[in-house]
Amino acid sequence: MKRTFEIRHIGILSVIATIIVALLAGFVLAQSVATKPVPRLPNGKPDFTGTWDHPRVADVSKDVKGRCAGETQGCSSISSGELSFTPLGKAENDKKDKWDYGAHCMPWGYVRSYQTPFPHAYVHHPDRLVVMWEQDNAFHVVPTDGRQLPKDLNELDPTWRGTSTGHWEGDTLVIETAGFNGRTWIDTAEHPHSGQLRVVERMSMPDYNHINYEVTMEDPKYYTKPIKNTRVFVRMKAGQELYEYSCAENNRCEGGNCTAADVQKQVK
Amino acid sequence: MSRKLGLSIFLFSLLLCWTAAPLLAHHSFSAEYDGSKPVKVTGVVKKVEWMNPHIWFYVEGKDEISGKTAVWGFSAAPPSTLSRRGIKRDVLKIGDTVKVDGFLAKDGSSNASGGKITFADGRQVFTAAAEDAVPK
Repeated sequence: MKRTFEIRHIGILSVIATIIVALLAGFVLAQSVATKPVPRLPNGKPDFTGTWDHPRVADVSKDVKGRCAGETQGCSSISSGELSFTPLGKAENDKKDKWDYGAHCMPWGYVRSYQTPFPHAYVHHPDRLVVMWEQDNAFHVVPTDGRQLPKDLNELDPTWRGTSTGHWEGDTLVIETAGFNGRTWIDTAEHPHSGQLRVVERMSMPDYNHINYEVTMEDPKYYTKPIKNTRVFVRMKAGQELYEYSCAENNRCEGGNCTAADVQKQVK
Repeated sequence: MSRKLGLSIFLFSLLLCWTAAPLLAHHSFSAEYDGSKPVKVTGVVKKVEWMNPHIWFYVEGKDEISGKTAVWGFSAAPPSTLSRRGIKRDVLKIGDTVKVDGFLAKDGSSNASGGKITFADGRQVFTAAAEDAVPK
């Protein structure tokens, strides 16, 4: 009698154990299929580290949907629409035969680097965000240690990509950038900007695979109202890294002047 | 094609390069190429430059649209973009017979963007850069 009870008992326990194992396995499987949680820095803020694909934005006044620069799907950019120039800005925009700094392998500039036909990556630490663009293999450091841009922006040395600082508003990283040299364009459509350009970016992670990125460009010298693009970046597949990119490697007819060297490159 | 004719065409191509309006490299598609002027060149691959900022490959042959025969210089996407599409640097071999669909350079030279390559066995690869006009 006692022996029969023990056997029955073991049988029930086995069924319960099997159910528990099956439930656990299902839970683990569901977790791995569902999106992973947003990664966090030691300070609890979202960690943007990774290789990210962004939309190729050739014209900041137009929308881009679906296609990313690095062949991933799901990127987008929604524009605030038509640009509104000041008379000075219009005169600059209407200039014919603008000097194409990109054709000379000069830096693409801050906002335009985020619009290139190539992805970018972040290395993120609590005190800084390091942006690495595949285009020209360029990098930019955004300190997030509490420092601020000077009150008088003229104190900043004018540079191609400006000077940035970042701070958190909840789980959104807000980056302010100023101190531009005014030699770049805000896009490949050759829309100009002056040295008074000021850029504010807001970045957040709705889930592991996406960054919501909003960029606002204000340049009172050239534009009467802010230009805003709201974009979605997509995390690239595990193992995908940035490539080497050397613009000067085989840049033809630099500056529009075909030289003997360019011609010699023709097949013989 | 006789050797003499080939040499003449090559020299003519060189002349075009010297005299043509300047061609801006590493530039937006619309600034450099004319999306309304397609070319369909069938010929033999003579040289491949798998380099930044754009790959270049040269095909000696005839454009079936204009009837022009030349050594055509085709510019396409950079190596990184092509690699991400699964197109490797040995995709084009010297001596391959290919048909290239692209768009003529605005400068009147024998250069063009090379957006689609069709091989003798019918395989096709799309080599256009992200912002280039893509041949159908």
